[in-house]
Amino acid sequence: MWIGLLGYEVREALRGRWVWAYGAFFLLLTEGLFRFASDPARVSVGLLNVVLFIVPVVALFWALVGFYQTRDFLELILSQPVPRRWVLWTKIGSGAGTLILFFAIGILIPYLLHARGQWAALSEGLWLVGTGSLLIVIYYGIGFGLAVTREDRTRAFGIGMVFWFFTAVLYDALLLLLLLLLRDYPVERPAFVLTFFNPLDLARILLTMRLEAALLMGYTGALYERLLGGVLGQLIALGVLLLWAVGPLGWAQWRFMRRDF
Amino acid sequence: MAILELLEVSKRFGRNRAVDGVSFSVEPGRIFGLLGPNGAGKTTTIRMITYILLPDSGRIMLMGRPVGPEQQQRIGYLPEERGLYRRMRVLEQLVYFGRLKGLSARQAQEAARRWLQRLQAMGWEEKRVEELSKGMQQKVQFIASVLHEPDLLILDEPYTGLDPLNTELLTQVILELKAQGKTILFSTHRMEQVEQLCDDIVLINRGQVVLAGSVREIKARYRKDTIRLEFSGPDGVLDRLPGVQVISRSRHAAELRMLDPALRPQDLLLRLASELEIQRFEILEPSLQQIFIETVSRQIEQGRGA
Repeated sequence: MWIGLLGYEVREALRGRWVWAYGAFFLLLTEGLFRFASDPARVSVGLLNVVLFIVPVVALFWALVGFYQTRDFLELILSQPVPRRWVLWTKIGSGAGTLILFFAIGILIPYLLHARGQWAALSEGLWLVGTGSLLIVIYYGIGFGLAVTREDRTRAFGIGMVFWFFTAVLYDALLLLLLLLLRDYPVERPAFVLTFFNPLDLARILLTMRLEAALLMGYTGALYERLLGGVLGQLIALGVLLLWAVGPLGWAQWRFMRRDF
Repeated sequence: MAILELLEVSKRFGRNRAVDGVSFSVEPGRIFGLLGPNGAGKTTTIRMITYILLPDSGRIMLMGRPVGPEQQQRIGYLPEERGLYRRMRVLEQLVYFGRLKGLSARQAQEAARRWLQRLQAMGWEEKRVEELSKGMQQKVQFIASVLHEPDLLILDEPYTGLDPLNTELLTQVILELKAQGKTILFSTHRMEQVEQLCDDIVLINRGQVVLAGSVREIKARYRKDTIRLEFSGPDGVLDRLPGVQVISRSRHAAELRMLDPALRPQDLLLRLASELEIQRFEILEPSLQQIFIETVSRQIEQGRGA
Protein backbone atom coordinates (compact mmCIF):
# COMPACT_ATOMS: atom_id res chain seq x y z
CA MET A 1 0.00 0.00 0.00
CA TRP A 2 2.95 2.30 0.73
CA ILE A 3 4.10 1.98 -2.85
CA GLY A 4 0.57 2.72 -4.09
CA LEU A 5 0.39 5.84 -1.93
CA LEU A 6 3.82 6.96 -3.17
CA GLY A 7 2.72 6.29 -6.76
CA TYR A 8 -0.29 8.62 -6.43
CA GLU A 9 1.85 11.30 -4.77
CA VAL A 10 4.54 11.10 -7.48
CA ARG A 11 1.92 11.20 -10.25
CA GLU A 12 0.39 14.31 -8.67
CA ALA A 13 3.85 15.91 -8.34
CA LEU A 14 4.67 15.15 -11.98
CA ARG A 15 1.50 16.95 -13.07
CA GLY A 16 2.90 20.22 -11.69
CA ARG A 17 4.45 22.68 -14.13
CA TRP A 18 7.22 23.94 -11.88
CA VAL A 19 9.05 20.67 -11.58
CA TRP A 20 9.24 20.47 -15.39
CA ALA A 21 10.48 24.06 -15.52
CA TYR A 22 13.12 23.14 -12.92
CA GLY A 23 14.34 20.21 -15.05
CA ALA A 24 14.27 22.35 -18.21
CA PHE A 25 16.36 25.02 -16.48
CA PHE A 26 19.16 22.58 -15.70
CA LEU A 27 18.90 20.96 -19.12
CA LEU A 28 19.19 24.27 -20.96
CA LEU A 29 21.91 25.56 -18.65
CA THR A 30 24.07 22.44 -18.95
CA GLU A 31 23.49 22.20 -22.70
CA GLY A 32 24.33 25.90 -23.07
CA LEU A 33 27.53 25.53 -21.08
CA PHE A 34 28.58 22.58 -23.23
CA ARG A 35 28.00 24.67 -26.37
CA PHE A 36 30.01 27.65 -25.08
CA ALA A 37 32.81 25.69 -23.42
CA SER A 38 33.41 22.38 -25.07
CA ASP A 39 35.73 21.22 -22.27
CA PRO A 40 33.56 19.16 -19.84
CA ALA A 41 35.81 20.14 -16.91
CA ARG A 42 34.96 23.81 -17.46
CA VAL A 43 31.27 22.94 -17.74
CA SER A 44 31.40 21.16 -14.37
CA VAL A 45 33.10 24.14 -12.74
CA GLY A 46 30.51 26.42 -14.32
CA LEU A 47 27.69 24.29 -12.91
CA LEU A 48 29.26 24.09 -9.47
CA ASN A 49 28.06 27.46 -8.20
CA VAL A 50 24.59 27.01 -9.67
CA VAL A 51 24.27 23.68 -7.88
CA LEU A 52 25.52 25.17 -4.61
CA PHE A 53 23.26 28.23 -4.69
CA ILE A 54 20.11 27.30 -6.59
CA VAL A 55 19.54 23.66 -5.61
CA PRO A 56 19.34 24.20 -1.80
CA VAL A 57 17.08 27.25 -1.91
CA VAL A 58 14.69 25.59 -4.37
CA ALA A 59 14.56 22.40 -2.27
CA LEU A 60 13.88 24.38 0.90
CA PHE A 61 11.05 26.41 -0.59
CA TRP A 62 9.67 23.43 -2.50
CA ALA A 63 9.22 21.61 0.80
CA LEU A 64 7.60 24.62 2.48
CA VAL A 65 5.22 25.36 -0.38
CA GLY A 66 4.40 21.65 -0.83
CA PHE A 67 3.51 21.24 2.84
CA TYR A 68 1.40 24.36 3.24
CA GLN A 69 -0.43 23.85 -0.07
CA THR A 70 -1.48 20.34 0.85
CA ARG A 71 -2.12 21.06 4.52
CA ASP A 72 -5.86 20.30 4.26
CA PHE A 73 -5.24 17.23 2.19
CA LEU A 74 -2.81 15.95 4.82
CA GLU A 75 -5.58 16.13 7.40
CA LEU A 76 -7.81 13.98 5.22
CA ILE A 77 -5.05 11.44 4.57
CA LEU A 78 -4.28 11.23 8.28
CA SER A 79 -7.89 10.27 8.93
CA GLN A 80 -7.45 7.24 6.65
CA PRO A 81 -6.17 3.92 7.99
CA VAL A 82 -2.63 4.66 6.87
CA PRO A 83 0.28 4.81 9.34
CA ARG A 84 1.44 8.37 9.91
CA ARG A 85 5.02 7.39 9.08
CA TRP A 86 3.92 6.29 5.59
CA VAL A 87 2.19 9.59 5.01
CA LEU A 88 5.36 11.44 5.97
CA TRP A 89 7.70 9.39 3.81
CA THR A 90 5.46 9.43 0.75
CA LYS A 91 5.30 13.23 1.05
CA ILE A 92 9.07 13.57 1.43
CA GLY A 93 9.81 10.81 -1.09
CA SER A 94 7.57 12.28 -3.79
CA GLY A 95 8.63 15.90 -3.17
CA ALA A 96 12.40 15.42 -2.87
CA GLY A 97 12.35 12.47 -5.29
CA THR A 98 10.81 14.41 -8.19
CA LEU A 99 13.22 17.31 -7.62
CA ILE A 100 16.17 14.90 -7.70
CA LEU A 101 14.80 13.18 -10.77
CA PHE A 102 14.40 16.37 -12.81
CA PHE A 103 17.68 17.82 -11.55
CA ALA A 104 19.51 14.61 -12.52
CA ILE A 105 17.86 14.41 -15.94
CA GLY A 106 18.60 18.09 -16.61
CA ILE A 107 22.30 17.67 -15.82
CA LEU A 108 23.00 14.17 -17.10
CA ILE A 109 21.40 14.26 -20.55
CA PRO A 110 23.86 16.92 -21.87
CA TYR A 111 26.76 15.06 -20.21
CA LEU A 112 25.74 11.84 -21.93
CA LEU A 113 25.41 13.65 -25.26
CA HIS A 114 28.62 15.67 -25.14
CA ALA A 115 30.97 13.60 -23.02
CA ARG A 116 30.22 10.18 -24.43
CA GLY A 117 33.08 7.79 -23.68
CA GLN A 118 34.91 10.36 -21.51
CA TRP A 119 34.71 8.59 -18.18
CA ALA A 120 36.36 11.40 -16.17
CA ALA A 121 33.88 13.97 -17.48
CA LEU A 122 30.92 11.65 -16.88
CA SER A 123 32.07 10.97 -13.35
CA GLU A 124 32.22 14.75 -12.73
CA GLY A 125 28.62 14.98 -13.91
CA LEU A 126 27.66 12.13 -11.62
CA TRP A 127 29.39 13.79 -8.65
CA LEU A 128 27.54 17.02 -9.36
CA VAL A 129 24.25 15.12 -9.47
CA GLY A 130 25.09 13.04 -6.39
CA THR A 131 26.16 16.01 -4.27
CA GLY A 132 23.28 18.13 -5.56
CA SER A 133 20.87 15.31 -4.67
CA LEU A 134 22.26 15.18 -1.15
CA LEU A 135 21.74 18.94 -0.87
CA ILE A 136 18.15 18.49 -2.07
CA VAL A 137 17.52 15.87 0.63
CA ILE A 138 19.14 18.03 3.33
CA TYR A 139 17.34 21.26 2.46
CA TYR A 140 14.05 19.53 1.69
CA GLY A 141 14.25 17.87 5.12
CA ILE A 142 14.96 21.22 6.77
CA GLY A 143 12.09 22.86 4.87
CA PHE A 144 9.67 20.07 5.75
CA GLY A 145 10.72 20.10 9.40
CA LEU A 146 10.23 23.87 9.51
CA ALA A 147 6.78 23.59 7.95
CA VAL A 148 5.77 20.87 10.42
CA THR A 149 6.88 22.93 13.42
CA ARG A 150 5.50 26.29 12.29
CA GLU A 151 1.79 26.99 11.92
CA ASP A 152 2.62 30.48 10.64
CA ARG A 153 3.85 30.04 7.07
CA THR A 154 5.33 33.54 6.76
CA ARG A 155 7.56 32.90 9.72
CA ALA A 156 8.56 29.50 8.34
CA PHE A 157 9.53 31.04 4.99
CA GLY A 158 11.46 33.77 6.83
CA ILE A 159 13.41 31.28 8.93
CA GLY A 160 14.09 29.17 5.81
CA MET A 161 15.38 32.19 3.91
CA VAL A 162 17.66 33.21 6.80
CA PHE A 163 18.99 29.66 7.12
CA TRP A 164 19.78 29.45 3.41
CA PHE A 165 21.43 32.89 3.40
CA PHE A 166 23.46 31.96 6.47
CA THR A 167 24.77 28.72 4.96
CA ALA A 168 25.23 30.07 1.41
CA VAL A 169 26.83 33.44 2.14
CA LEU A 170 27.20 34.46 5.75
CA TYR A 171 28.86 31.38 7.23
CA ASP A 172 31.92 31.58 4.99
CA ALA A 173 32.26 35.29 5.55
CA LEU A 174 32.11 34.85 9.34
CA LEU A 175 34.57 31.98 9.17
CA LEU A 176 37.03 34.06 7.17
CA LEU A 177 36.64 36.97 9.56
CA LEU A 178 37.30 34.66 12.50
CA LEU A 179 40.41 33.25 10.85
CA LEU A 180 41.65 36.74 10.10
CA LEU A 181 41.17 37.87 13.69
CA LEU A 182 42.89 34.77 15.04
CA ARG A 183 45.63 34.59 12.42
CA ASP A 184 48.40 34.56 15.09
CA TYR A 185 46.96 31.39 16.65
CA PRO A 186 46.90 27.76 15.42
CA VAL A 187 43.34 27.71 14.08
CA GLU A 188 43.62 25.15 11.30
CA ARG A 189 42.01 22.29 13.16
CA PRO A 190 39.13 24.31 14.69
CA ALA A 191 38.48 25.78 11.22
CA PHE A 192 38.40 22.27 9.80
CA VAL A 193 35.82 21.20 12.40
CA LEU A 194 33.75 24.35 11.77
CA THR A 195 33.18 23.29 8.16
CA PHE A 196 31.15 20.32 9.48
CA PHE A 197 28.42 22.71 10.57
CA ASN A 198 27.63 23.99 7.10
CA PRO A 199 26.37 21.47 4.52
CA LEU A 200 26.98 23.89 1.67
CA ASP A 201 30.62 24.29 2.68
CA LEU A 202 30.99 20.51 2.80
CA ALA A 203 29.37 20.14 -0.62
CA ARG A 204 31.61 22.84 -2.06
CA ILE A 205 34.74 21.24 -0.59
CA LEU A 206 33.72 17.81 -1.83
CA LEU A 207 33.00 19.01 -5.35
CA THR A 208 36.06 21.22 -5.68
CA MET A 209 38.25 18.32 -4.59
CA ARG A 210 36.55 16.01 -7.08
CA LEU A 211 36.65 18.56 -9.88
CA GLU A 212 40.19 19.57 -8.94
CA ALA A 213 39.16 23.19 -9.19
CA ALA A 214 41.92 24.59 -6.99
CA LEU A 215 40.89 28.19 -7.54
CA LEU A 216 37.42 27.55 -6.09
CA MET A 217 38.69 25.46 -3.23
CA GLY A 218 39.14 28.35 -0.82
CA TYR A 219 40.79 28.20 2.56
CA THR A 220 38.73 25.36 3.99
CA GLY A 221 39.05 23.21 0.89
CA ALA A 222 42.81 23.68 0.94
CA LEU A 223 42.77 22.70 4.63
CA TYR A 224 41.11 19.38 3.76
CA GLU A 225 43.73 18.69 1.13
CA ARG A 226 46.58 19.59 3.43
CA LEU A 227 45.36 17.94 6.62
CA LEU A 228 43.84 14.77 5.19
CA GLY A 229 44.90 14.39 1.59
CA GLY A 230 42.46 14.03 -1.29
CA VAL A 231 40.65 10.73 -0.68
CA LEU A 232 40.35 10.85 3.10
CA GLY A 233 39.18 14.48 2.90
CA GLN A 234 36.52 13.53 0.39
CA LEU A 235 35.38 10.60 2.50
CA ILE A 236 35.06 12.75 5.60
CA ALA A 237 33.21 15.49 3.71
CA LEU A 238 30.87 12.91 2.19
CA GLY A 239 30.32 11.16 5.53
CA VAL A 240 29.41 14.39 7.34
CA LEU A 241 27.20 15.40 4.42
CA LEU A 242 25.35 12.08 4.76
CA LEU A 243 24.88 12.79 8.45
CA TRP A 244 23.44 16.15 7.44
CA ALA A 245 20.99 14.32 5.15
CA VAL A 246 19.83 12.00 7.93
CA GLY A 247 19.64 14.68 10.67
CA PRO A 248 16.95 17.03 9.25
CA LEU A 249 14.87 14.10 7.98
CA GLY A 250 14.98 12.50 11.42
CA TRP A 251 14.01 15.82 12.97
CA ALA A 252 11.15 16.25 10.46
CA GLN A 253 9.89 12.74 11.26
CA TRP A 254 10.12 13.30 15.00
CA ARG A 255 8.07 16.50 14.76
CA PHE A 256 5.57 15.08 12.26
CA MET A 257 4.81 12.04 14.40
CA ARG A 258 4.05 14.26 17.39
CA ARG A 259 2.35 17.14 15.66
CA ASP A 260 -1.29 18.01 16.36
CA PHE A 261 -2.93 18.53 12.98
CA MET B 1 -24.79 -0.37 22.71
CA ALA B 2 -23.53 3.04 21.60
CA ILE B 3 -21.52 2.99 18.37
CA LEU B 4 -19.37 5.91 19.55
CA GLU B 5 -18.55 6.85 23.10
CA LEU B 6 -16.43 9.71 24.42
CA LEU B 7 -15.47 9.48 28.06
CA GLU B 8 -14.01 12.54 29.80
CA VAL B 9 -11.97 13.50 26.74
CA SER B 10 -9.63 16.48 27.06
CA LYS B 11 -7.16 18.13 24.72
CA ARG B 12 -4.89 21.10 25.26
CA PHE B 13 -2.94 23.17 22.74
CA GLY B 14 -0.30 24.94 24.78
CA ARG B 15 -2.19 26.88 27.45
CA ASN B 16 -5.51 26.66 25.63
CA ARG B 17 -7.80 23.86 26.79
CA ALA B 18 -9.63 23.16 23.52
CA VAL B 19 -11.67 20.22 24.80
CA ASP B 20 -12.31 19.85 28.50
CA GLY B 21 -13.73 16.62 29.87
CA VAL B 22 -16.21 16.01 27.07
CA SER B 23 -18.41 12.92 27.35
CA PHE B 24 -21.23 11.82 25.09
CA SER B 25 -22.37 8.76 23.24
CA VAL B 26 -23.92 8.21 19.82
CA GLU B 27 -26.49 5.48 19.28
CA PRO B 28 -26.34 3.45 16.07
CA GLY B 29 -28.61 4.39 13.18
CA ARG B 30 -29.18 7.96 14.36
CA ILE B 31 -28.13 11.38 13.16
CA PHE B 32 -26.20 13.13 15.87
CA GLY B 33 -25.54 16.87 15.81
CA LEU B 34 -22.32 18.22 17.28
CA LEU B 35 -23.02 21.90 17.77
CA GLY B 36 -21.30 24.91 19.18
CA PRO B 37 -20.11 28.42 18.36
CA ASN B 38 -16.84 29.02 16.51
CA GLY B 39 -13.83 27.86 18.52
CA ALA B 40 -15.97 25.74 20.85
CA GLY B 41 -13.90 22.60 20.30
CA LYS B 42 -16.07 20.77 17.74
CA THR B 43 -13.39 20.25 15.12
CA THR B 44 -10.83 19.20 17.73
CA THR B 45 -13.34 16.66 19.04
CA ILE B 46 -13.95 15.35 15.51
CA ARG B 47 -10.20 15.14 14.85
CA MET B 48 -9.80 13.04 17.96
CA ILE B 49 -12.64 10.73 16.90
CA THR B 50 -10.99 10.30 13.48
CA TYR B 51 -7.63 9.60 15.17
CA ILE B 52 -5.90 12.60 13.60
CA LEU B 53 -5.31 13.95 17.11
CA LEU B 54 -4.77 11.98 20.26
CA PRO B 55 -6.55 13.12 23.43
CA ASP B 56 -4.42 14.15 26.41
CA SER B 57 -6.80 12.24 28.65
CA GLY B 58 -10.07 10.32 28.43
CA ARG B 59 -11.15 7.57 26.07
CA ILE B 60 -12.84 7.41 22.70
CA MET B 61 -14.48 4.09 21.85
CA LEU B 62 -15.85 3.17 18.46
CA MET B 63 -17.91 -0.01 18.33
CA GLY B 64 -16.63 -0.95 21.76
CA ARG B 65 -12.92 -0.54 20.93
CA PRO B 66 -10.55 2.41 21.33
CA VAL B 67 -10.20 4.41 18.12
CA GLY B 68 -7.09 3.57 16.14
CA PRO B 69 -6.04 2.61 12.61
CA GLU B 70 -8.43 -0.37 12.56
CA GLN B 71 -11.38 1.80 13.59
CA GLN B 72 -10.47 4.47 11.03
CA GLN B 73 -11.48 1.96 8.36
CA ARG B 74 -15.06 2.07 9.64
CA ILE B 75 -15.28 5.87 9.61
CA GLY B 76 -16.09 8.12 6.70
CA TYR B 77 -14.96 11.70 7.24
CA LEU B 78 -15.85 14.83 5.33
CA PRO B 79 -13.67 17.59 6.82
CA GLU B 80 -14.67 21.24 6.90
CA GLU B 81 -11.62 22.23 4.85
CA ARG B 82 -11.53 20.60 1.45
CA GLY B 83 -8.60 18.33 0.74
CA LEU B 84 -8.35 16.79 -2.70
CA TYR B 85 -5.44 16.40 -5.10
CA ARG B 86 -6.06 19.40 -7.32
CA ARG B 87 -4.59 18.01 -10.49
CA MET B 88 -5.89 14.45 -10.16
CA ARG B 89 -8.94 13.30 -12.13
CA VAL B 90 -12.16 12.71 -10.20
CA LEU B 91 -12.47 8.95 -10.74
CA GLU B 92 -8.76 8.34 -10.09
CA GLN B 93 -9.08 10.33 -6.88
CA LEU B 94 -12.13 8.40 -5.69
CA VAL B 95 -10.48 5.07 -6.47
CA TYR B 96 -7.45 6.22 -4.50
CA PHE B 97 -9.54 6.97 -1.41
CA GLY B 98 -11.45 3.72 -1.82
CA ARG B 99 -8.20 1.78 -1.92
CA LEU B 100 -6.90 3.56 1.17
CA LYS B 101 -10.04 2.28 2.91
CA GLY B 102 -9.36 -1.28 1.87
CA LEU B 103 -11.45 -1.66 -1.32
CA SER B 104 -10.00 -3.29 -4.41
CA ALA B 105 -9.50 -1.02 -7.44
CA ARG B 106 -12.53 -2.60 -9.11
CA GLN B 107 -14.80 -2.29 -6.07
CA ALA B 108 -13.71 1.32 -5.62
CA GLN B 109 -14.37 2.12 -9.27
CA GLU B 110 -17.85 0.55 -9.21
CA ALA B 111 -18.77 2.31 -5.99
CA ALA B 112 -17.43 5.64 -7.30
CA ARG B 113 -19.50 5.40 -10.50
CA ARG B 114 -22.61 4.45 -8.50
CA TRP B 115 -22.19 7.42 -6.20
CA LEU B 116 -21.40 9.84 -9.01
CA GLN B 117 -24.69 8.81 -10.60
CA ARG B 118 -26.59 9.17 -7.31
CA LEU B 119 -25.22 12.68 -6.80
CA GLN B 120 -26.00 13.65 -10.40
CA ALA B 121 -22.33 13.96 -11.25
CA MET B 122 -22.01 11.55 -14.16
CA GLY B 123 -19.55 12.75 -16.77
CA TRP B 124 -17.19 14.15 -14.16
CA GLU B 125 -14.95 11.07 -14.04
CA GLU B 126 -12.24 12.48 -16.28
CA LYS B 127 -12.38 16.06 -15.01
CA ARG B 128 -9.48 17.35 -12.94
CA VAL B 129 -10.49 18.53 -9.46
CA GLU B 130 -9.12 22.03 -10.15
CA GLU B 131 -11.65 22.33 -13.01
CA LEU B 132 -14.58 21.81 -10.62
CA SER B 133 -16.49 24.49 -8.73
CA LYS B 134 -16.43 24.54 -4.93
CA GLY B 135 -19.84 22.83 -4.76
CA MET B 136 -18.80 20.15 -7.24
CA GLN B 137 -15.62 19.47 -5.25
CA GLN B 138 -17.78 19.20 -2.18
CA LYS B 139 -19.82 16.44 -3.82
CA VAL B 140 -16.65 14.57 -4.86
CA GLN B 141 -15.31 14.81 -1.35
CA PHE B 142 -18.62 13.59 0.05
CA ILE B 143 -18.41 10.56 -2.25
CA ALA B 144 -14.84 9.91 -1.04
CA SER B 145 -16.17 9.75 2.51
CA VAL B 146 -19.02 7.28 1.82
CA LEU B 147 -17.42 5.09 -0.85
CA HIS B 148 -16.42 2.29 1.51
CA GLU B 149 -19.81 2.20 3.26
CA PRO B 150 -18.62 3.32 6.68
CA ASP B 151 -20.53 2.52 9.85
CA LEU B 152 -19.96 6.02 11.17
CA LEU B 153 -20.08 8.99 8.82
CA ILE B 154 -18.70 12.27 10.14
CA LEU B 155 -19.79 15.37 8.23
CA ASP B 156 -18.21 18.67 9.22
CA GLU B 157 -20.17 21.54 7.63
CA PRO B 158 -21.28 19.35 4.69
CA TYR B 159 -23.40 22.01 2.97
CA THR B 160 -20.61 24.53 2.43
CA GLY B 161 -20.58 25.70 -1.19
CA LEU B 162 -23.78 23.87 -2.20
CA ASP B 163 -26.68 25.62 -3.94
CA PRO B 164 -30.27 24.99 -2.69
CA LEU B 165 -30.87 22.15 -5.18
CA ASN B 166 -27.71 20.30 -4.17
CA THR B 167 -28.40 21.04 -0.50
CA GLU B 168 -31.72 19.26 -0.92
CA LEU B 169 -30.06 16.40 -2.80
CA LEU B 170 -27.45 15.94 -0.08
CA THR B 171 -30.15 16.02 2.59
CA GLN B 172 -32.00 13.23 0.80
CA VAL B 173 -28.81 11.18 0.56
CA ILE B 174 -28.08 11.66 4.25
CA LEU B 175 -31.59 10.50 5.12
CA GLU B 176 -31.18 7.48 2.81
CA LEU B 177 -27.95 6.56 4.60
CA LYS B 178 -29.75 6.83 7.90
CA ALA B 179 -32.52 4.57 6.59
CA GLN B 180 -29.82 2.03 5.68
CA GLY B 181 -28.78 2.00 9.34
CA LYS B 182 -25.71 4.21 9.09
CA THR B 183 -24.82 6.46 11.98
CA ILE B 184 -24.09 10.08 11.10
CA LEU B 185 -22.28 12.62 13.20
CA PHE B 186 -23.07 16.02 11.87
CA SER B 187 -21.44 19.33 12.69
CA THR B 188 -22.91 22.58 11.42
CA HIS B 189 -23.84 26.12 12.34
CA ARG B 190 -27.10 25.95 10.40
CA MET B 191 -29.75 25.23 12.98
CA GLU B 192 -32.58 24.71 10.51
CA GLN B 193 -30.65 21.71 9.14
CA VAL B 194 -30.10 20.40 12.63
CA GLU B 195 -33.84 20.63 13.31
CA GLN B 196 -34.56 18.91 10.01
CA LEU B 197 -32.03 16.09 10.31
CA CYS B 198 -30.75 15.41 13.80
CA ASP B 199 -32.22 12.96 16.29
CA ASP B 200 -29.81 13.86 19.07
CA ILE B 201 -27.51 16.77 19.73
CA VAL B 202 -24.71 17.83 21.97
CA LEU B 203 -23.87 21.50 22.36
CA ILE B 204 -20.27 22.32 23.18
CA ASN B 205 -19.03 25.69 24.35
CA ARG B 206 -15.51 26.56 25.48
CA GLY B 207 -14.57 22.91 25.22
CA GLN B 208 -17.32 21.68 27.55
CA VAL B 209 -20.66 20.01 26.98
CA VAL B 210 -23.40 22.47 27.94
CA LEU B 211 -26.43 20.68 26.56
CA ALA B 212 -27.08 17.10 25.41
CA GLY B 213 -30.02 14.87 24.57
CA SER B 214 -32.56 14.14 21.88
CA VAL B 215 -33.84 17.17 19.95
CA ARG B 216 -37.43 16.45 21.00
CA GLU B 217 -36.52 16.12 24.65
CA ILE B 218 -34.41 19.27 24.67
CA LYS B 219 -37.14 21.33 23.05
CA ALA B 220 -39.67 20.00 25.53
CA ARG B 221 -37.32 20.91 28.39
CA TYR B 222 -37.32 24.54 27.38
CA ARG B 223 -40.25 26.77 28.36
CA LYS B 224 -42.67 27.58 25.59
CA ASP B 225 -42.50 31.33 26.03
CA THR B 226 -43.01 32.62 22.51
CA ILE B 227 -46.44 33.65 21.24
CA ARG B 228 -47.46 34.26 17.65
CA LEU B 229 -50.31 36.71 17.46
CA GLU B 230 -52.63 37.87 14.67
CA PHE B 231 -55.15 40.57 15.41
CA SER B 232 -57.07 43.58 14.24
CA GLY B 233 -57.57 46.89 15.99
CA PRO B 234 -55.18 49.51 17.43
CA ASP B 235 -52.08 47.76 18.78
CA GLY B 236 -51.04 50.23 21.48
CA VAL B 237 -51.66 47.56 24.11
CA LEU B 238 -48.54 45.71 22.93
CA ASP B 239 -46.42 48.51 24.36
CA ARG B 240 -48.11 48.29 27.76
CA LEU B 241 -47.64 44.59 28.55
CA PRO B 242 -45.57 44.07 31.70
CA GLY B 243 -43.05 41.16 31.51
CA VAL B 244 -43.49 40.77 27.75
CA GLN B 245 -40.98 41.53 25.01
CA VAL B 246 -42.16 42.27 21.46
CA ILE B 247 -39.80 40.31 19.21
CA SER B 248 -41.31 41.38 15.90
CA ARG B 249 -44.34 43.32 14.88
CA SER B 250 -46.27 44.36 11.81
CA ARG B 251 -49.69 45.99 11.34
CA HIS B 252 -51.80 42.94 12.19
CA ALA B 253 -49.26 40.45 13.57
CA ALA B 254 -46.64 40.23 16.26
CA GLU B 255 -44.33 37.78 17.95
CA LEU B 256 -44.10 38.15 21.70
CA ARG B 257 -41.88 36.65 24.33
CA MET B 258 -42.99 36.16 27.92
CA LEU B 259 -40.06 37.19 30.08
CA ASP B 260 -41.85 36.83 33.41
CA PRO B 261 -41.98 33.14 34.41
CA ALA B 262 -45.09 33.82 36.54
CA LEU B 263 -47.02 35.06 33.54
CA ARG B 264 -49.38 32.40 32.09
CA PRO B 265 -50.39 32.42 28.39
CA GLN B 266 -54.09 32.45 29.29
CA ASP B 267 -53.59 35.63 31.40
CA LEU B 268 -51.82 37.24 28.48
CA LEU B 269 -54.58 36.18 26.11
CA LEU B 270 -57.24 37.70 28.38
CA ARG B 271 -55.33 40.96 28.60
CA LEU B 272 -54.89 41.15 24.80
CA ALA B 273 -58.49 40.12 24.08
CA SER B 274 -59.75 42.99 26.21
CA GLU B 275 -58.33 45.51 23.71
CA LEU B 276 -57.81 43.64 20.43
CA GLU B 277 -59.79 41.35 18.21
CA ILE B 278 -57.65 38.19 18.32
CA GLN B 279 -57.55 36.07 15.17
CA ARG B 280 -54.65 33.85 16.13
CA PHE B 281 -52.88 33.12 19.40
CA GLU B 282 -50.28 30.37 19.07
CA ILE B 283 -47.78 29.19 21.67
CA LEU B 284 -44.58 28.34 19.80
CA GLU B 285 -42.00 25.73 20.63
CA PRO B 286 -38.58 27.34 21.03
CA SER B 287 -36.39 26.83 17.98
CA LEU B 288 -33.00 25.18 18.36
CA GLN B 289 -31.52 28.48 17.26
CA GLN B 290 -33.12 30.18 20.29
CA ILE B 291 -32.03 27.40 22.61
CA PHE B 292 -28.50 27.57 21.19
CA ILE B 293 -28.24 31.34 21.63
CA GLU B 294 -29.82 31.27 25.07
CA THR B 295 -27.59 28.47 26.37
CA VAL B 296 -24.37 29.92 25.02
CA SER B 297 -25.22 33.45 26.14
CA ARG B 298 -26.04 32.17 29.62
CA GLN B 299 -22.69 30.44 29.80
CA ILE B 300 -20.89 33.59 28.67
CA GLU B 301 -22.73 35.57 31.38
CA GLN B 302 -21.77 32.99 34.00
CA GLY B 303 -18.17 33.18 32.79
CA ARG B 304 -18.18 36.95 33.23
CA GLY B 305 -19.72 36.65 36.67
CA ALA B 306 -17.16 34.10 37.88
